[in-house]
Amino acid sequence: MALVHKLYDGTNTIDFTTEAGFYDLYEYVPQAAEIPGDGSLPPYVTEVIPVRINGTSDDNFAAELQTFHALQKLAAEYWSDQTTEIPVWYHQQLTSETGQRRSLVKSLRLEFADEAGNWFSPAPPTTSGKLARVIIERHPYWESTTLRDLPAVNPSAGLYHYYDPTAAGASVTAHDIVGDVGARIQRFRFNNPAGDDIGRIWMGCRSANKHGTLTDYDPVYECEGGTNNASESGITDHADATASGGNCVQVVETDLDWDDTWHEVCMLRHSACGSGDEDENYGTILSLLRAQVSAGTWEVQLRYGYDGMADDDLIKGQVLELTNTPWDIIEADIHTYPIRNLKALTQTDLNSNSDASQAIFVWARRTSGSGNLEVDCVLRLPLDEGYCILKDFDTTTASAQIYMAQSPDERIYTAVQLAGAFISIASVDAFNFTLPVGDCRILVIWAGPTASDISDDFDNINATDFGKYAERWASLRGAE
Amino acid sequence: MITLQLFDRLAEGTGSYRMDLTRHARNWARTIRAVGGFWTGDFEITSTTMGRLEMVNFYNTAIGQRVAEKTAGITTWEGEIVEMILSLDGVQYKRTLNPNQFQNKVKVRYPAGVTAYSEKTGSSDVYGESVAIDVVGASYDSTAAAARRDRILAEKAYPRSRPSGGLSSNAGAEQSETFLSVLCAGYVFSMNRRYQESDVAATNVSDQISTLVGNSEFVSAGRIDSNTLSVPVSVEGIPSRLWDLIEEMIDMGDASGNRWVGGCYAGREFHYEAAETAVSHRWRNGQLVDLGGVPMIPSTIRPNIIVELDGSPAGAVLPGGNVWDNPKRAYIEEVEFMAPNIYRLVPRGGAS
Repeated sequence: MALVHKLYDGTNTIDFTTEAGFYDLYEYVPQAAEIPGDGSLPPYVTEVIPVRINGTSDDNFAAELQTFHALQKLAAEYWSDQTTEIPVWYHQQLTSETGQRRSLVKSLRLEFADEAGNWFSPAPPTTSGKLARVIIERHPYWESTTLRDLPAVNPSAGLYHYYDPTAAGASVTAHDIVGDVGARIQRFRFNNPAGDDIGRIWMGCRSANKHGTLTDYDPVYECEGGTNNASESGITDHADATASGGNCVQVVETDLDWDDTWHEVCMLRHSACGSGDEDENYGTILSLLRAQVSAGTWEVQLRYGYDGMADDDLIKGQVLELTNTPWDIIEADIHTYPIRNLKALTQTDLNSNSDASQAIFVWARRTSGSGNLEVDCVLRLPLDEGYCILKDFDTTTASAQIYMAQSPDERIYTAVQLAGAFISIASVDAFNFTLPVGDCRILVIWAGPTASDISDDFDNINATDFGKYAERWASLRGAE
Repeated sequence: MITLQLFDRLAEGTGSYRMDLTRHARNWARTIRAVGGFWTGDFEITSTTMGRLEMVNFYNTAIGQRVAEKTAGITTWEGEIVEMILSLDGVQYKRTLNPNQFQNKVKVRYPAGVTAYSEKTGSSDVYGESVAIDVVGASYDSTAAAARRDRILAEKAYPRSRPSGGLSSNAGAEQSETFLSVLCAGYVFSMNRRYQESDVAATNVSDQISTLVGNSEFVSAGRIDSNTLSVPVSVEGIPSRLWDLIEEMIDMGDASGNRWVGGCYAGREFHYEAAETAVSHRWRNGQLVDLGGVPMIPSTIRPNIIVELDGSPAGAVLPGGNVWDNPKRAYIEEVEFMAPNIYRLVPRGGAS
């Protein structure tokens, strides 16, 4: 433990703690970002450090300034030049603070003070150098100076894996994510097994601090677990080995009722399709429908409301057009669970457990052809604590590796590698994709490039701890 | 909560992913219309996030590339880059796909006839077709008309970079900032780069729209609901641009006097349906909420919704009119969105 206060690019240093060069005059007032509630990144923070720039000679004084300007140029290039790799970091550690932290520098400025004296005076001695202010525009958060490993796992075949970043791995013991803001995920790697074709990955984060017991979260509502609409003929639970859970709900059109007319297929009530825990399922959620048709075109719409609500009062989602055989996973809607305003109307205000009766209603109509509709399940991707969605890549070639990497300034890049060469670059749709503090999980859902199959899966996620992350703090790190 | 993604031009193949534009696209704003769908969008790129060389390269290569705004994986806007203005050392340069300035398949109609089409496939294979039918006066014969056609092609077949706004000298002025203005347009506009040149016998207007959509290069028929109002397509020798013609048909409504809407949405699919007639949202405490009272995510708001206005002035509902002709309701024709979370709903009959 020792005082650290410096600018550093891995080679050059401006050390504010020593009298040689840029010396902190102990007038520095630290700044801290205001943490927003919506997960967005707060504005970059401006720090002002009053300094005295000392030099043993005019030439030594000039050399100190040249080091500063080199860092200034590097910081600016890192921000605007895609081919610049090395960032400039602003490091701090209190005299007795256990851990050191650093913050990415976006820009540096030097302003000489009015009291700096005669610029052309003889060489500034070490005790009476030129007075100035170093102005640092930095990332709103501090992060650890070293990266930590994420555990490797080998998911079972299926549609999704509820990844535990806090579990033990080959080079990491089980531990909660420390810090006071979400940790930056620096790298994820997915290994694609021979014969399977992954082309889309959805990832959503969830923490115990915000949502309680993480294992009570329901990643999927199985349609066969819901209530089929008894008013319409042809709706039955249907055994299908390629369906999630081995069953789906099938609509066999027999009387043309479904042609161009909307009907409810089934109701996925939380108490029936979920684990029975309501508050552990609260959040903003992306509904992903897994469905297929045997032929023709069907339209499906998810509607959101409560068991017993009139049809007209349901909140209607997007109309999804289905022509796919086999199964496909389709992004339907973003919705909240529960719908009720939690702040205004608490659960104890109510005489009944309304959250248990909240439901997703699957509606459909056939718009052309003579085929049947099969709805398998609704996958529930949590969004409110950060998400990352990768698409537009193709791992048709077996044993490809899918990389997702994130720079200190949140630039996410994803590519598929095979035998040392990139074979595909993926699109990234991400928001606040960080590891929430404490105990957390990432729901990882995967599918083929255009259509999915129940057998598609990964060999592993973060093989031999290929995943890395950096903890982050809004101000001090302490002993974490 | 949105991400802005850039993909290759559709005319060139599969439209592979190119880059994440989100951090570069300063002041990203776009609109969606009930008649038209994904409409226009624009943003700026400055030297704060993109170096000069990279910016010049973007200007040289990105015209016609596909832009998609995503919200948690859902496409909430999609279009192509149709115009860019690069400000470099005090000079402005422009590339554009404006069909008046970019034409790679041309014929000329003259008093005695019309020339055959001539197409610069080196351009249309990259940027897609941009058809022009030029009309000239009495002094043209077939030879002169063909020569004019070839001159137009030579001048306009590619979205060339040209100085715009004049070359102004002001030696004492400070060096101007390097930046790029980017204009995007929904694919509904690309339909106007092709013409309907033949008549079609009267049939259901929805079938006519399906046919016209099928004649476009990048847009396909999505959800086209049946509208049995029977109409012909009679170009009578004056070809119409595809979207102009479709817009006219949407405006007809149906035989019962109901309003219909249509436009190009995600995946370049064209949807056509009767306009919404039921209240689907509320305006409460200065924001749009769904029927459950949950605030809408700004980027996911679509037009063709009826909003019940909490706190609107009480008053009698005048006779006649539609469901939204009520002082407590508004039919939303257009949604303007500016990242990250500013939006404005433009009601039918309201201030634009």
